Amino acid sequence: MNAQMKKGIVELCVMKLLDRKKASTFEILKQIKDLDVNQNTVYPILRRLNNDGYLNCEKGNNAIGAPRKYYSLSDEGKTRLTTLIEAWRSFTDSVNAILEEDKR
Amino acid sequence: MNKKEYLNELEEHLKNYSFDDDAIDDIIEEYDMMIDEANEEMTDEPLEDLLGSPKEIAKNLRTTEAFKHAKDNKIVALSPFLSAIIFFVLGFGFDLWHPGWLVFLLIPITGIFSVKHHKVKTYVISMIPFISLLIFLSIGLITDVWHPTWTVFLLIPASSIFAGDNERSLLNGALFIIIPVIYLLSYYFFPFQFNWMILLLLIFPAYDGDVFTFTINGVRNQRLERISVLVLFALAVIYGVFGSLYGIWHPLWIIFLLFPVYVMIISKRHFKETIPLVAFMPFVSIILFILAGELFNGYYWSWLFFLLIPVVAILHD
Repeated sequence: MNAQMKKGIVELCVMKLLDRKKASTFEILKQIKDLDVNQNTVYPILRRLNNDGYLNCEKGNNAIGAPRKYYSLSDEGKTRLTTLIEAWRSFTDSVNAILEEDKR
Repeated sequence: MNKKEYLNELEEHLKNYSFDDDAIDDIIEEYDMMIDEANEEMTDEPLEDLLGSPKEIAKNLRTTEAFKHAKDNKIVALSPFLSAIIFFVLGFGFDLWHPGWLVFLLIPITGIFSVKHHKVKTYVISMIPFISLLIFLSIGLITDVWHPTWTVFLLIPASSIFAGDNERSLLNGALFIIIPVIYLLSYYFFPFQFNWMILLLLIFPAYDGDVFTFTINGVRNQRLERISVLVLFALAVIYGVFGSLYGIWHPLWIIFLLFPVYVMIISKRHFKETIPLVAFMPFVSIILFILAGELFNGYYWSWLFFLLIPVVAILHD
């Protein structure tokens, strides 16, 4: 799959995961491992989303007291996610319609 | 690769791309925590497989940081309009077209102050171009000695070389001061035509040292740095040849305004963006303003060229 397209999908998945619950970068990396994405791109995407104001970032401690940084979706991020999901659904519906045409 | 090696390598790559200190601290802190988290999982997987390669991470982060800096540049983008307004007020209100045009220096000044530096060294280096320009304009306007006053601009690459991490920084930096001094001595005490060719010797310390750091919206690119050195050098040669042949040091210096134009073109190309025409207009306006002022003695009307900036901006929108 085209690298640029994959980055867009990773961005969507990262935002959706953070919409469900706040997470650290490493937790996100683990959760999207099945997508077969390039690990080099995950943190840069997260950092860009944070710079753009789509994320809230808070510092905290894990169960054993080690410092951690947790990200969650900001209100602006939630609006952006809704737009992205709508665009994604419309796109995949159109693609599926073409792919499934022979079966009808 | 252990944690220390991984973080050191990442920091090295970030420094090579000239990320600012705050960004480096923030990124290193994030990866420090990520590695601790990975270690808690007791996995045998190498850090590069888990988190990515430091080199590639730094490379991917370049675009992110560049866009962040591009947002900060909005203040800089307003400075041409502010300068134009002050220029008109001085001109129409007090008939100070000259030296009122100096308010256009607000454009580079805003650029310099909009960049946050946390190290005194980088702050001083960023101020050298502005200080050189002030010296050049002060001596030029007061004594009309534009040539060889322009050699003061060689302080810019010299300061960058001194500040570089290169082993021979001190030697190259010293050569960048000594060669122009020899040229000035020759100019005043042993003059001969084409003595400016002494300055061609600068290519050696220029190529060996970090002549200047070329940043695209705050992110360093070494390949473009080398190309930029050659472009700047070519402009200097053109300036030297035509200046000494025809004695037109002023206003020929305006060819150096082509350099920021070139920088904008390659910066935008690098990030595959379209170039808004309005971005070039401050430079085009200054070039036309000075050309018309000098060639046709038309400073009293050539200010009209500055109207090109808002006109093009309106048409573009």
